[in-house]
Amino acid sequence: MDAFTWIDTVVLVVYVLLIAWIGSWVGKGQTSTQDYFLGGRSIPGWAIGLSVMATQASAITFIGAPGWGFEGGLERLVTFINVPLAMAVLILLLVPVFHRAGIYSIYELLERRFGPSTRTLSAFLFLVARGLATGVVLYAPALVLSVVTGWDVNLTIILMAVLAISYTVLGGISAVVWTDVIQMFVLWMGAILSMVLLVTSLPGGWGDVFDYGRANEMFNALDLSFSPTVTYTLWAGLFGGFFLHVAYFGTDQSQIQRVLTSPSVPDAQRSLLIGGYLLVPQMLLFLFIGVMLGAYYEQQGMTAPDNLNELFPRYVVNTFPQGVTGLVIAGVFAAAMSSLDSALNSLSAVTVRDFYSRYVKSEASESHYLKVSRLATVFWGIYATIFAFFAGNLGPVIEAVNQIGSWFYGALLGVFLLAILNHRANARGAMAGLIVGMLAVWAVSATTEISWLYNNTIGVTVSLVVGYLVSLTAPAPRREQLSDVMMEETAPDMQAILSKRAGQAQEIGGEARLTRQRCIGLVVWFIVLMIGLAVFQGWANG
Amino acid sequence: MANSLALARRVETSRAIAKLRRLGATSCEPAWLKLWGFGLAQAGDSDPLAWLLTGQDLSRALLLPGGDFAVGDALSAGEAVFSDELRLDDEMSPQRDDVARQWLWERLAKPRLWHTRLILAEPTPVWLPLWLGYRHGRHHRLVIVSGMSGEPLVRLKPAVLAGLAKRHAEGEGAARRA
Repeated sequence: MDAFTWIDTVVLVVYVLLIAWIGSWVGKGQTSTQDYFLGGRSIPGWAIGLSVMATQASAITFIGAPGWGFEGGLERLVTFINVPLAMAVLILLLVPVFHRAGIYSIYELLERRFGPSTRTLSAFLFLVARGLATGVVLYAPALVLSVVTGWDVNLTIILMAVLAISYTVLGGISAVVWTDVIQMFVLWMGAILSMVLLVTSLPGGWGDVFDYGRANEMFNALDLSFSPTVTYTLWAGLFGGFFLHVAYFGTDQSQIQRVLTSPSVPDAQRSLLIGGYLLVPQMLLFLFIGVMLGAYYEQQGMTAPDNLNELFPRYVVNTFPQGVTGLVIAGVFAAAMSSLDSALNSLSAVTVRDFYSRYVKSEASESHYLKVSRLATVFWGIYATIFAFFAGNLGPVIEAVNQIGSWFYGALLGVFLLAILNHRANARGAMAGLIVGMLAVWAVSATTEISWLYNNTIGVTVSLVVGYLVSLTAPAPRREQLSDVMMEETAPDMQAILSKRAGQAQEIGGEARLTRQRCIGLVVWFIVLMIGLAVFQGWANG
Repeated sequence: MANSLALARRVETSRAIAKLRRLGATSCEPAWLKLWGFGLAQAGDSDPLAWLLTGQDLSRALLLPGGDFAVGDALSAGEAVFSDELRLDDEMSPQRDDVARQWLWERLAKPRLWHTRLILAEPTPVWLPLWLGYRHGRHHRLVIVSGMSGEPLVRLKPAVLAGLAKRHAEGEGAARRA
């Protein structure tokens, strides 16, 4: 098998149509309200978690991570090793506050806490950063399609953009949890099948993979170098990647929107929990495929494509059985559509809610806002398309997405932390923190060779310190400005009332708290991963 | 105004206690919160597909699928279901226009809900069954769990606290008069 046959084309078309049909069928009528359900919830938490994972990373992981693994083995796993800890912080700190505030866009919280300027600047930064990152997400499936069909990649970018914008404007499919779950299984099936085919095609099987990996130091996931200029050290992963992921999952509207629209805090936490447990193993799987491809290319005497993002799609097309190729490519295609759909939707929602309805037309009809929302989707689609033309020059696609975020999100996270953790911080401090935080990231990136993974750490630290110090030069915020970040029941009169009611209520005894248990579970998982990687690395290095 | 309706309490005491314990509560009691139900229907349809439950103190509404309202035995219009449980009510209904705008933002956040629109009818007062848990640490804390699904409903906290404060003030007033 060495090409994308008509059978694969049929499978691809049928799969995409089937997913779209399931999406529109399930999305219609009463079931469309299922995930807002107040009672008798029917969608299991694991399905919601997989759906979140599908929206987050599936297509670009599938394309980008094998390229990473091929180039540097497991070294870039440290970028993600912190995800369980980042999810624990989100579960413990940010999600309860966002959820309790009852907001539609997280930037609203900043307005209530610091005033309209902070909200507007933060929402603007989100639009710029997410718009650029969406260009990368658009580039990824276009690349797959161009590899499969042999078409020019720029032509496929335009084709994909038209498809994605149409999908989103027509209502989208990404919100349907079960279609996302199907896509995740198809992608994982594709990954596992690749491993099986790769191992069976090597004369020495797994032995050849491990020999190749050991000889080329591909299994050194934990680099203990203290030099901040070494990009993928354990410390960069822990102290840089941690803030990268808290910022990415916590301050990017396209990621947190699903959390804001889930019916309860535990629901929102569950979906983050699954990401916390599965994201690292998923990344490990795809990086490992990259190592296996390295062994395969070496044995076959093949030359890798110049653009490593093409590596895995090419392998799939050239070696998978007829029909299965079509299914896996369709999975990548549909998963990318799902990510694009949710990104374009969140960009459009923030444009209308945080800008248009605030500054342009505050009292328009519903149909007017719908029209504007669709126009905004088209605008962001075009913006992303233009950036997608350059995305191929940014290296592996996952890194490109993360690097774009690292320019903005650290300072943004710093401002959210100021809003939540420091009740003395005020509007002046928040604006100063946000602007100086971003300038600091820019200055450090431009003048030093420090690993980009530290960008978010620099942004968070500078915005927190500057934000707090500048806040001291202006009056403290009023109590009502703190209402979203302070427990309502802590007011002295409420304490007296709650104490009285608790005294009259039925005693039920205490038990370890759910949130605490969940966070401890994530920390334990992080430790297990670290030990596992250290043992593996020790074994690989003899 | 339509008669008030009460949603059926599906989470019985033992399940509520287990849930509240996991959420850290050390004591609990059943309660009812009066909210205002606004019907939602597909465009061009008048039969409610779902209901938005909201109140003056809530920044976002809760969405209740229509099936729960449509099933006859899920609802009973009367005082009998309450027994002597704590009732927290909000006399004032939110303005329909405010709720319609709120629903617009929900729909923009989830486009597949776009075709569901607010019905032009008076809101129905709806009693929502709850379980209130109390936790005593550095502060007394309140945990709210739905009496229908057992899910924690943090967003109801402002409404429940306002209701508790009102009940407390009424109790104080009655005590003074006595």
